Amino acid sequence: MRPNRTILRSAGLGVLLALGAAEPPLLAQADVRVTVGEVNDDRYSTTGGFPSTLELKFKLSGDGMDGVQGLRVLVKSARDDQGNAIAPKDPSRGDFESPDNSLAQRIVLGNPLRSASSVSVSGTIELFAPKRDPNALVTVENAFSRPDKPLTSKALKASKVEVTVVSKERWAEERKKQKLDDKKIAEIRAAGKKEGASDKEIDAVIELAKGLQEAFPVPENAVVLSGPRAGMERIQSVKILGPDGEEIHVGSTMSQGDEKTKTMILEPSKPVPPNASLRFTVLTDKARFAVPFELKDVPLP
Amino acid sequence: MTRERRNRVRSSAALAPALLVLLPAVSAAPGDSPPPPTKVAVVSLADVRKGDSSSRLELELELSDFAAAEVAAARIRVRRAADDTGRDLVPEDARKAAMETVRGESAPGAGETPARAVVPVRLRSPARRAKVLTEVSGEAELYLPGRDPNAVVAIPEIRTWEGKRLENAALSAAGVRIAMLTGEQLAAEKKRRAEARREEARKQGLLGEMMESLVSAFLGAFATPEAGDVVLSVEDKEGRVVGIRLLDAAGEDRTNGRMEQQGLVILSSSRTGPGPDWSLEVRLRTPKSVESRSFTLKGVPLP
Repeated sequence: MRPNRTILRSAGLGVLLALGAAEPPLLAQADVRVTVGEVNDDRYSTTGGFPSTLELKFKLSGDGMDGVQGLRVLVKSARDDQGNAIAPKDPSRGDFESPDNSLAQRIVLGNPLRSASSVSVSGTIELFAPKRDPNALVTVENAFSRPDKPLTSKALKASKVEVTVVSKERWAEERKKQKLDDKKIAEIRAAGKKEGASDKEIDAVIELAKGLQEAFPVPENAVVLSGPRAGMERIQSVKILGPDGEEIHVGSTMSQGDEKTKTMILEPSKPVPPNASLRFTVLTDKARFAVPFELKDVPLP
Repeated sequence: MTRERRNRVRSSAALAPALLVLLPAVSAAPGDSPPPPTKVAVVSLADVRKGDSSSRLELELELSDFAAAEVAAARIRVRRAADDTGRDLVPEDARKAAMETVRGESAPGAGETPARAVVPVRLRSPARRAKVLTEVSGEAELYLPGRDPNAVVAIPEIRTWEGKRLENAALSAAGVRIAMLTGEQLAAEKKRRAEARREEARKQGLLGEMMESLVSAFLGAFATPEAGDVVLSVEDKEGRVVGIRLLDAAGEDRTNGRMEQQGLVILSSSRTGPGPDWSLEVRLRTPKSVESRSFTLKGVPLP
């Protein structure tokens, strides 16, 4: 009954609803309603070790939500009723999160003043619904037949996505190259210094990187996909399909890379046959749309 | 206070509910003289504002007269608490406050100052427009097992006691009876309690499906141990048991889960259960192991 509670509470809060409006380049008319459910104002003393935050959890509903598989929230402005601007606490990382992920449907801000009694927040919710674009769902048959060469797919090419299935041998070589040597450590150290990090902090990062390399060996059945970062970032999800069309369960997916390249390491539950296919869900422009929102006078607890 | 120290303090506070042992709250009778005072300082303060009954104000208080390694558990009874709008912040259940396990600090190294004991205090949510806690005062009842050898009972080779009642003079003297149940004994106990529940329902005039659904709900909620868990039946009418732990041969606490239900205590360690040389430690409240102090805080700014 949580949705009902959310709606009722939202009604009580008198939160303004936002409807889709045109705002290029992403925008499309959409019936998406934004209501606020819970409001949590967690205030910790500086010695507490926890970050103090104002969190607004909201609920998206309406026909426009049909088929939505990803969303991200961009806050434009937030202000308390005393007129003070409130800064967002976790600016969007740029990733589209599943609407099923409770962390996706929320806004995290700094705390308003104790003397404030309400806040108003505006911004945009970007949504991704692959059903809006036939090119958003791309299946590449026999994707494992030509390892170490970019997959041939017109749809992927149209979306400027280049993906290569990396063979075990090639990946072993890459891992060797990635191993932290003195040169790489010097680069990390220089980059850390540039960012103003202390020697202690930089040492900790280097130790963590070394530890991660040893702690996470590549699983035996791993499927490694790699490509230029810009295109790979447009991949929202990847499924492995057996020759019978049945999905092969992927237990975990890891990503790594640098500014230019991104590599995804999928861990399927069983060995992938050479004639298996890959199904990509791609964040195409046609499948994305945005809904501006304005939440006015949200009462503070 | 270092971050590491604070983290340990926080983790102890977070673990406290899991290790919670309810003891009967003993309220000071009107006219009783208050215990001697101790100095306290606020380590951290969390004003958790949710807009519902889960909103609360949590403080961690450092007791400067007590080393952290000395205090195993504490019960804080708040007598007065208010913010500067005059809102009363004393929780409704303040008089029934529970004795909560406090994670001790390791002994300090040479030249180091021993860390002070830190205890959690929970209050009602202050007014939004409040700026200061005008007063927080009450009593801290501290459990200091190191002060009385009879406060800690060790039962060696606990595995050998499966299916039997633990024979120990200190437990008997404290009026505490503990038995380590086998799977069959637990099943029999479950059956016995289900029958008792059925009989109770029958007396209330419930019959047929209603009675059986009540019994079925009871059975569904009945404690179910995992492989390797130690199941204890604990009789403790005077509320003397403060905590029960599984210790390995080196004396390290290996208990990583604990559940209490209607006189049954289930201790988890590993899927294979306690090692052959592990012991069961029972901490008992004794007159010598408990010390009470009063405390008062004034003018604490709210975050």
